[in-house]
Amino acid sequence: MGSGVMRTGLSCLIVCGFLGGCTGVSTPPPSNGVGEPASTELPFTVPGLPLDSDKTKLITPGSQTSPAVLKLLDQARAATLSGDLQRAEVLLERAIRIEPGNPALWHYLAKVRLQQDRFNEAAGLAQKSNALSKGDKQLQADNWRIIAHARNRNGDIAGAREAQDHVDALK
Amino acid sequence: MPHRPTRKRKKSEKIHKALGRFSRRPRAAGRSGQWKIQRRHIWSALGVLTVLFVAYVIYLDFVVREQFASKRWAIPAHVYARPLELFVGLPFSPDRFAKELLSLNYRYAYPAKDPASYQREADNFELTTREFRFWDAQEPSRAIRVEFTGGVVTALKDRTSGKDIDLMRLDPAFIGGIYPAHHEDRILLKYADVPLLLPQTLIAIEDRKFLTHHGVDPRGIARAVWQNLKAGATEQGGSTITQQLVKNFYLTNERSLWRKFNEVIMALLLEAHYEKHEIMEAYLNEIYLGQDGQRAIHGFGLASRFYFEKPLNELSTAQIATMVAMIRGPGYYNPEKHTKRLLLRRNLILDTLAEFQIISKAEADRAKREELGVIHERRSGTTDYPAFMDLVQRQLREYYHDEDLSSEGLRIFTTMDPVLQSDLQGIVQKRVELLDKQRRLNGKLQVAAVITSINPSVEVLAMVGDRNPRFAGFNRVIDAARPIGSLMKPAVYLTALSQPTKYNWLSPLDDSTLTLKSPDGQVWSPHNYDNQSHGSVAMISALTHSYNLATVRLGMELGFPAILDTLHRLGVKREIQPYPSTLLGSTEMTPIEVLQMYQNYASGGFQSPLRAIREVLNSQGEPLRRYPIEVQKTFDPEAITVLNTGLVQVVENGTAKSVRAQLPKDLMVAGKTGTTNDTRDSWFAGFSATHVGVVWLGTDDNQPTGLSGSTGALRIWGDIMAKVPTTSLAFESNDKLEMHWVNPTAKQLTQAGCPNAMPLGFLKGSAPAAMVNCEGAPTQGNSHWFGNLFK
Repeated sequence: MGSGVMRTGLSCLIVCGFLGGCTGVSTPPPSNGVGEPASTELPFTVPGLPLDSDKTKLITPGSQTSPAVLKLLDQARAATLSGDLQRAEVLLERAIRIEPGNPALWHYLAKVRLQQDRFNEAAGLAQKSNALSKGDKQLQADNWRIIAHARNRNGDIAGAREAQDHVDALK
Repeated sequence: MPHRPTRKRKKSEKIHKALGRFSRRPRAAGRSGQWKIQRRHIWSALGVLTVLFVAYVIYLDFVVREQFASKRWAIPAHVYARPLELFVGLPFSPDRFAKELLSLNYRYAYPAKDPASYQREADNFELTTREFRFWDAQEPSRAIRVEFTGGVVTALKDRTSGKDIDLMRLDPAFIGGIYPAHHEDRILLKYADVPLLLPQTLIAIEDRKFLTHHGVDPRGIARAVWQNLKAGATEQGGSTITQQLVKNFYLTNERSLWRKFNEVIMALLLEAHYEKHEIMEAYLNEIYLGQDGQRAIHGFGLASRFYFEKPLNELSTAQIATMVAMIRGPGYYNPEKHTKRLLLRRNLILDTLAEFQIISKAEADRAKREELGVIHERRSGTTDYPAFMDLVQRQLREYYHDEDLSSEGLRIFTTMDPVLQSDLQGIVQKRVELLDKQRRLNGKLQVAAVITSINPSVEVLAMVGDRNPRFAGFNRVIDAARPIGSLMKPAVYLTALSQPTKYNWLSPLDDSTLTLKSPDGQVWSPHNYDNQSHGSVAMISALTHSYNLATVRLGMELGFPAILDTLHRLGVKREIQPYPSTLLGSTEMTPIEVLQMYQNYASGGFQSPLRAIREVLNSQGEPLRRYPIEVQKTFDPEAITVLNTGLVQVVENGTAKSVRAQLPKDLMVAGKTGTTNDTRDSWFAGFSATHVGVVWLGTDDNQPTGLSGSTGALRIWGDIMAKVPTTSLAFESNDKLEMHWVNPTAKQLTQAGCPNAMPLGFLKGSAPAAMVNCEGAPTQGNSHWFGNLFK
């Protein structure tokens, strides 16, 4: 699968996932213009990636999320739509400072980092999200997918396989 | 016919006169040939002088143009605290909010309609915020109302629209600058942004011909000379604004004809090359207007903030006149020391403005009735927080040269909580003085204290590196490496608890006397703090009472490779020797290294880089560098939770239980005391769900202090944790972790509510099956944790 499609899928999930307000891949967000090698060059392809919104349930920020954080998520969504991932990152960090125990926020930030090709950071954030997830299997599975993808891109094939095993176990 | 000197000859004689002894030699009759030679020499000399003069002027012209065109004032980096995010639900007390506003230099005013003003009625505030440019957005000035109930923000409204505000930021407190060697500080102004009254006043007072002269005003000089002669003293300076700028810009304060000569030439050259508004803009930014300790206040942009806590365009007519009055001598017209003198000169200036019809007579009269309005208790630009600023600079140096930091006008957004920093400074000063007096340490007791947030990442909120927190010297938080004593023990217990098939909190440990012999024959006999041995004890008791003998035995059993691996994963970068004494903390670490180790426990098995900076912006407010949130998993979160349930018991029932009296009843915290041989070092490291703090007390010459971890460092830690708006620890069973009530004496599970029962975590399947009742007799029942009973 081409990397452009992969980015499109990720962006859409981030965009949709913030508020859970859209379904399917109806409006492809603009590319951020960064070139990326085709996934065929990857040493190992993780099943279930890219995170495709029509295959996975959308991660919502939770009913307890405060209006302050929802406002930031709304802005982060707009920033992602316009391809401004750095602004999205700043807004998500502000949201996490307000609600550090909200696992969905860590998950969103992990996805932004994945899009920015900051794989180690993406995996760390996804693991933090898992540590806070309190039995939310869908969220855990999506976080393990991020970890698997990040490890894969870092050339850690065994680590990616192990992460994928977690995804499979959570199905 | 008598010889009549020609005009030419007269001129020559004048030149001869000017050239001195050689040229005054009378013409000898019959020596016309010699005279011709001499004349040739004179013309040659004049030619050389002219060439030299022209060359010098060309040089000056180069200097003037080169420096003026490329003149980029060395603008110090300005450092800010973290901005306070306001939203409904924010845990923040109204008193703390009032302190936050004071740290931002907001003024109490009724009604609070101007930017940076507020009023308070009971627990409700009305304020008008300052606008501020952040990394991601411009936060506009807003008139808002904030209501607090029970230590939480319960309403946040826009007073103009009446609508609720979901989220907003206050401007961040300015906490200091990073100055160049000459300590000049300024805020750059653009001419277009300057209120017209300021250049008008400057021209009226300093240089009335500014708009028409070419850099020098001969009539002005003549008038000044005449006035000074009449007065018998230097009352007026004849220098134009251009000359003053040249003097400040390129020359020294030396009073000599040579300096004056350069000043005049350079002023003419400057005027030849640049427009009047460019010269005025440079003057407005360059002029020296006062001193703040070592920091020199240059330019009206900074002076306006420094003296009146306002941007220039918010100043009144009287305040503009006050600043112009100070140009003549910021020391002589110092607003604190010479208020009356400054007031008189300000009023004279206001009269002059009226005389020139720049303002009306009525406005001048009204302005003259105004008080000076100088803020007397203004925040100093030289930092009050040297230890924190030291850390900021060290972190900045990873990416920036010192020269860039002190000249590029960078804006550094840090993690500091200004109110907490102020609290910590107050607590440290008071406690250290008291403890020093109690232990008769003659002022030698020293301190290092640091507190950070841990969620979402480890950000330094406050730190103090000396018993005098404003002393910018040895920063003990970063540089004082001392043996950490029992602060090492949790690493040993974590190593054990990570092997749930072998160890849990009820595993028996042998705390009997112990003698170890090294391969070279050296004998080591550790002992407990109370010099007693306690026989067989549960692992939890060994931790809560900090038993050395049991810990050394456990560590030896686990083996050094496992312990060193744990320390490595905890982020300890020092080389650790595999000696038994290492298990009791003979290893030296700085407080900040200890904090980095303990953040793993506090954040549930995750590690983040310790940050003092969030963002760096350039002088135009454009982003240069961010320090993003980063976390890496270091341990299984459940194993850390198990350890933390034990560290809570250190506070509830162990060596740190005295701190309970200092803390709110419902605040559950965890931590460990540390005391080194002969009470040379007193440590406490502990955490809540959102904050970690480390405190060290001792002397620089490593003398015994008589203070243990609990009688010294813990006191300061307790004081500060009682002030922080923090979150209690809470533990819940999950699919990998079980919470049980245990009886540590019986080393068995027990029932909830038994007098000596304590709740502890066990990795799934590692808890013993047997249990005892409250009397210690075997029974069957339920030791499980239901909900948050402990709270």
